[in-house]
Amino acid sequence: MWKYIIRRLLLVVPTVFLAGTLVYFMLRVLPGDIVSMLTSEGGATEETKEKLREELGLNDPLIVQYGRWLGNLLTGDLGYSHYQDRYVTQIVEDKIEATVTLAILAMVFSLAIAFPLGIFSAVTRGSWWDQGIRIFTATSLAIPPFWLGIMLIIIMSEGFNWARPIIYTSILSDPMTNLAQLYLPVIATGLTSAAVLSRLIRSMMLEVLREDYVRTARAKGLREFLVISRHTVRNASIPVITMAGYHFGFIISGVVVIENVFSIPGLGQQVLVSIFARDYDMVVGIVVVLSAILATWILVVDLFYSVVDPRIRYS
Amino acid sequence: MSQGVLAVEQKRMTPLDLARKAKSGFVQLWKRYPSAAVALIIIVVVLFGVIFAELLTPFEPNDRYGTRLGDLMEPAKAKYGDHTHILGTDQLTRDVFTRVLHGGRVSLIVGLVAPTLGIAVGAMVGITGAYFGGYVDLILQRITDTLMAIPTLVLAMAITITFGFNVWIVIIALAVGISPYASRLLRSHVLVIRNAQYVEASKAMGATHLRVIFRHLVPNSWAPWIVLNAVNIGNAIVTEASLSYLGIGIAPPTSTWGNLLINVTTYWRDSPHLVLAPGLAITIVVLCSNMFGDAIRDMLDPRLRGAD
Repeated sequence: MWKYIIRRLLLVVPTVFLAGTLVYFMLRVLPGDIVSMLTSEGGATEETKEKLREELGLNDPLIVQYGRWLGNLLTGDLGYSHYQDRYVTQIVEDKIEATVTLAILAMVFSLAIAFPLGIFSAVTRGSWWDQGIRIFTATSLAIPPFWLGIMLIIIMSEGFNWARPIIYTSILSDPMTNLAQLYLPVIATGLTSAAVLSRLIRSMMLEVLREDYVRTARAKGLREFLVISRHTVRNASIPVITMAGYHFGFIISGVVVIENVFSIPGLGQQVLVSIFARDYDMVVGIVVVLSAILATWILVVDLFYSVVDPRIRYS
Repeated sequence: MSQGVLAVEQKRMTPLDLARKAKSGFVQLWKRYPSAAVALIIIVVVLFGVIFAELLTPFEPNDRYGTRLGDLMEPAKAKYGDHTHILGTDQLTRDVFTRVLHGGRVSLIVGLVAPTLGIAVGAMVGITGAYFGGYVDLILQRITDTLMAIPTLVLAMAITITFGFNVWIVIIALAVGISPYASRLLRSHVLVIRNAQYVEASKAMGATHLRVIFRHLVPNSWAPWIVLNAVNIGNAIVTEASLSYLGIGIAPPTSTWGNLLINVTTYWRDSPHLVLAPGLAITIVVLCSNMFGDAIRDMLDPRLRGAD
C-alpha cells in the first residue's frame, strides 16, 4: 500500500516538470521577446535593447536558459515577470487563492447538484421527472460555459440591477461576501460538470439497482429509502468520485475562461494578460502551477479511491 | 481465375447501395432512438445551411451595409435594397445571419476535424503501446500522462499562442488535447483484445507487427474509436468557441461562433440577437451532436456509458 503511494508521488514531480518543459520550449519558439515589449514605447536604440537582452540572459544558448529555469524551479523560483516587475512566485501567491476557491466551489456545487439529480433520475427511471432531468442535463452540457456566464451577467444586470464587484474579497476573510461575489461564476463553471456527473451517477445507480444484494434488501422488507441510501448510493459513488477527480482538469479549464468573463483576479485572468503582454515566464509559471495542482489532485483522488475500494489496494 | 473454391465474387458498392444502407440505418436509428434521429436531422440541416451559405443570404459576412455605425440593428426590420436582414446587423452594420452561417463553417470544421485527428493519433499511440508493452508502453504512457496533467484549455492556449491564431493551429491544438484520452481508452481496450486467438494465430503465421496492428487490432477497435469521435464533437466545438472568445483561438476577420461573441454584451438592449444567435447556434449543434453521440454509444458499447 505504501509502495503504491510512494510510487505515485514520485510520478507527480517528473510529470509536472515535463509539462512545464513542454510549454517552456513551445513558448521559446515565438518571435518577439520581452525586451521588444518593454521597449516598445520609448525610443530605445538597438544597443540598449541588446544590453538589456544580455542582462536578462536572453542571449545565452537555449539549453543554458532552460537549465537556469529548471534550477530555479527546483528551488521554488518560478522566474521573474519583467512586465509586472515582480517575481512570478509572488504574483502566483496573490492570484492563486481566487482560482482555487472558484475551482473548489464549482466542484462542490456540481456534486451538490449532480447527486440529488442523478439519484432521483435513476430511482424514478422512465418517469416525467427522469425525462425532465435528462433534458436539463443534456442542455446544460451543450451550453458553452462562457456564454452562460455572459447571459447570467446580462440577466442579473438587466433584471436585478446586479453590478460586477470591484474588489475581490477572499473567502478566508469574509466568506459571505466572497460567496455573494462568486455564486454566478460558480454556477457558470459548475453547471456543465454537474450535468456530466449527474449522468454518470444515474447510470451507475441504474447498474447498482440491478444487483442481487438490492433485491435481497428489498426482500428483507427494508424501506426503499434505506435500500437506496444505505446500499446503492455508496456503491454507485465510487467510480463517480474518481470521475469527479479526473474532471477537476475540466473545471480548471472552465475556471480559466470564467475568470476572464467575470473579471475575477485569479490565475486564469493573469495568464491571458501575460499572453498578450508577451510575458512568457509568467505564462510558463502559471501553466506549471496549474499542472501541479491538477496532478496533485489526481494523485489524492487515486489514493482516496484505493482507500475506499479495497479491491484496488491489492492489485 | 484461380482464386480457389472459397473465393466469392465481390459486388461493387454503387452510390445507390450506399444510399439504401444509409436509409435503413437511419430507419433503425429512428426506431430505437427517435430523439437522436431528430438530432441527426437538425445537424444535417445546419450543415446544409452552413455549406450553402452563399445561396441562403445575399449578404457578405464582412461587408458593411449601413451608412453609420449602429444602423439597421433591429432584426427583420432592417432592409437593404430588396433583402431583409433576418437577424439584423451588428455594431459595424455587418449582417448577423450571414456571419453566423460563415462562422458556423469554421466552428463545424474544427468541431469535426479536431476530434478525428486527435483520436486517430491518440488511438494509434494507445494501441501501439498496448501491443508492444514493456519500455515502449512505459514511454508512451509517460507522454500521455504529461499531456493529461496540463488542463486541456491551457494546453490549447499554449499551442495557439506559439504557432498562431488560425484554423489549422486550433485544430491541432484541440487534437493534442483530446489525444491522451483516446490513447488511454484504446490502450485499455487493446490490452484485452491482444490476447485473442486471432492475434495469436496471426503471429504464429508470421505476421509482422505492422500487419497485426493494422489488420487485426485497429479494425477490432472500431467501436470505442467511433464512440469517442461522436462524443467529443460537442466538446471540441465548445472549446474552440471558448478559445476564440478569449481572443486566443481563431482571430477576426475569420468569424467563428466564438469570436462573434466578443464585446457584444453592451449592445444587449438594442440588439439582443447579437448575443443570442451565436450562443444558441453553439448550444443547438452541441446538444444535437451529444444526443447523436449518446445513441451511437448506447448502440455500440453500453459499457462506455459514463466514460466521458
